Amino acid sequence: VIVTIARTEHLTEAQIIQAVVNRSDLSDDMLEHLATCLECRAEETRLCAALGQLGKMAQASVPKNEMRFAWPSGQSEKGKTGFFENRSITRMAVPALVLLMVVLGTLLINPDQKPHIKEMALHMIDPEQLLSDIDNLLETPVPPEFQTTVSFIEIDPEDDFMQDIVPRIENDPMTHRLKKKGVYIC
Amino acid sequence: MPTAKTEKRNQPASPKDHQVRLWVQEAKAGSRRAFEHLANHYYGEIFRMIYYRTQSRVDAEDITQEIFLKAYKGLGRLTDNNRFKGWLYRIAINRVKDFHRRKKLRKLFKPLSDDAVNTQIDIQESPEPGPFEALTRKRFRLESEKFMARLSKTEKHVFTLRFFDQLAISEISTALKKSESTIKTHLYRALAKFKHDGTFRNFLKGE
Repeated sequence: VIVTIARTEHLTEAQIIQAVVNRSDLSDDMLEHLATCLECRAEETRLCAALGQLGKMAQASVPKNEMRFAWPSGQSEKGKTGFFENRSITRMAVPALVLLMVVLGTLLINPDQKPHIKEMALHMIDPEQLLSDIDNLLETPVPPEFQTTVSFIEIDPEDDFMQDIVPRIENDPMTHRLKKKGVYIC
Repeated sequence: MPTAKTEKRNQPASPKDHQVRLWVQEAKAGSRRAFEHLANHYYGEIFRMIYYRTQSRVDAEDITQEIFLKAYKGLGRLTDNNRFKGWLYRIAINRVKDFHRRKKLRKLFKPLSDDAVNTQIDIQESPEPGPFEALTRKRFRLESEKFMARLSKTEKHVFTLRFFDQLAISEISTALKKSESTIKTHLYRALAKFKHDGTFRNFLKGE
């Protein structure tokens, strides 16, 4: 058996406003109260009526409009716009055209550039050859005869040159000094 | 027992909504005829909306036309066909903002702005209302402006869209790109102020 407790107190001002804005936001007991309480209903109706009147007066304040939507003259069907009407194409084409004109203009003004470009084109490496060279380099980074020179296999750590690069802890002025307790030099 | 809450949620879309959705779908596919139907369906509403915010018939007509052209061009960007109205109002709101920005700029550079010219055209072109009507309109404008001055910017937007333009909360939410709960919060605040504005409410009652 579902027992509903009747709401005895009236809706607050905020709840009346809530009812006007969106009735469905009120809880079920509030809705039930609103349906039965004459005082709360009158309050809600007054506010609704004032807002309704506001809407009516707002509409009446606007001059009558007899105009209808009209296509601008010369507007073509969507998707069938003229080539030059298409803004995105024009936006891309204009800078490309300017760039082309600058390049051509430079070549025309400075004809010495022509043989240089031709020469460059002749000496250009075949891309496939370039890729295979890179692969070779990756597999064998350095020819075997230079491997010992660049690797650390035969390097003597006691060597003066190596001491300069990687000093022993006791020879390192910084670490040695920090290890000492007492007065620092600076 | 179905409550008002459940009833509202289960409410089916009206035949008009269904028709609008169809027109949007067809217009998105490139049908100009469908877009014309859409435009003529909303033309009066958008014109009114613009007029409230510009108070100029000529500007309202021009801007309304521009809004529909913009909507036609941008229709492909509308993801949810059900939100066409809210989306259209968003375009309109942005266009009104542009209009006021340009107007401010024009005022900076021109001592006698185009507004004066527009107002003259308005007076000449609009059918002259009777003196009582004209007075009521003028008083309504003044009183509503006085009331609006008490609202914050968002409260003003939300209140106008809800009670002047008669938009639903979901449509306002789309138009202002804000959640429905935010819209409701602003509406509550605006309505609390409206409820306590005795002068404005008495004016509306005709006292």
